[in-house]
Amino acid sequence: MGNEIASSVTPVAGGSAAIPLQATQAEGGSALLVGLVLVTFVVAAVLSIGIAYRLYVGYRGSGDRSMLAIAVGLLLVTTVPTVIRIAIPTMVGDATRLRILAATSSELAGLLAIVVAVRTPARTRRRVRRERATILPLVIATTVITIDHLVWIAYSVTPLVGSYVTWLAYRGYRRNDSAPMAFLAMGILFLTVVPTIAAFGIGPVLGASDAGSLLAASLSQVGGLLSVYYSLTRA
Amino acid sequence: MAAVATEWERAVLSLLDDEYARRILVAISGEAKSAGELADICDASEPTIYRRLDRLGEHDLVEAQQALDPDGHHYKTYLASVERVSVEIDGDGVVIEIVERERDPADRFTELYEGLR
Repeated sequence: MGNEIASSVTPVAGGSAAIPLQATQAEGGSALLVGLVLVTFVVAAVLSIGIAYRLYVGYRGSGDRSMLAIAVGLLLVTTVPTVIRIAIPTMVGDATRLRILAATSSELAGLLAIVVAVRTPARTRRRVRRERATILPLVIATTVITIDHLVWIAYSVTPLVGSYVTWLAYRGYRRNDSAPMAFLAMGILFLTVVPTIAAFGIGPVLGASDAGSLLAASLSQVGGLLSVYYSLTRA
Repeated sequence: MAAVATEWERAVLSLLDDEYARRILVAISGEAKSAGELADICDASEPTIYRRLDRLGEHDLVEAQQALDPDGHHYKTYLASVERVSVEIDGDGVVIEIVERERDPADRFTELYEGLR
């Protein structure tokens, strides 16, 4: 029983801010932590709606396909995973792995959309003959792939691509002296890289409780959303 | 497919006919320079340089970048964004091909993201 709970909770803390419901089932500890996780959920929901609105307003009418790709990419990194984390447990019940897979895949798809958009030349005039490096050739062995494999693939690839996009945004900030890019870099770092590190690196090392790791992942997510929202509005 | 030069292509060709525009492009083909530096290099007045830079920028041959001087003030530098222009003539007509310089993805990311805000 105890093991069962532990094994179902560790991934919760990992990929994603978890759901209050499961926190209640899983934790053996303080109601305060569970309450805090709940609060971070509400904040995340509000921020992610704000971000979606900003992205829509920003893109509207520009007609630029690369800008659309960036907007959709950021949507998949911010709003969509937040909605998934709230909606799946509500509709499907306890589906931890499904939720992690859906949320992390959404982040990965968003990051890849951004990478493709920024690596595509701005305007290609007529018959430009130039070889371009292919981006991230993903080779998946043709063995039987279970949902666990997919979870682990999404888990390991997303932080890698997330680190690359963070680095691009950081360099964008350094080269162009652009404050919004600095906050965007921080946001992407907290949304796509830090939660995994917290779950697999620091959490177990510090011996954090399940509810504690869960809260850390949620806080990282909220921090990331806050940073992206600030970057879109004030920075 | 009879190729008819677009307005943009005609504008680019007539710009390249301009001595100062060519000198500017050569000077900023490798590294970005400010209008002041370009005035020295091209032996022209700053207003002359600015007029050419405006036209080059309008037709996407030059991109402006922000730079910081040692006192922390912003100023603009310019970098050529075209790498090669070729004119191909065959039975179908004249095809003008412009190959743009490959841009740093970080700069492209910044430009696109700031466009969204």
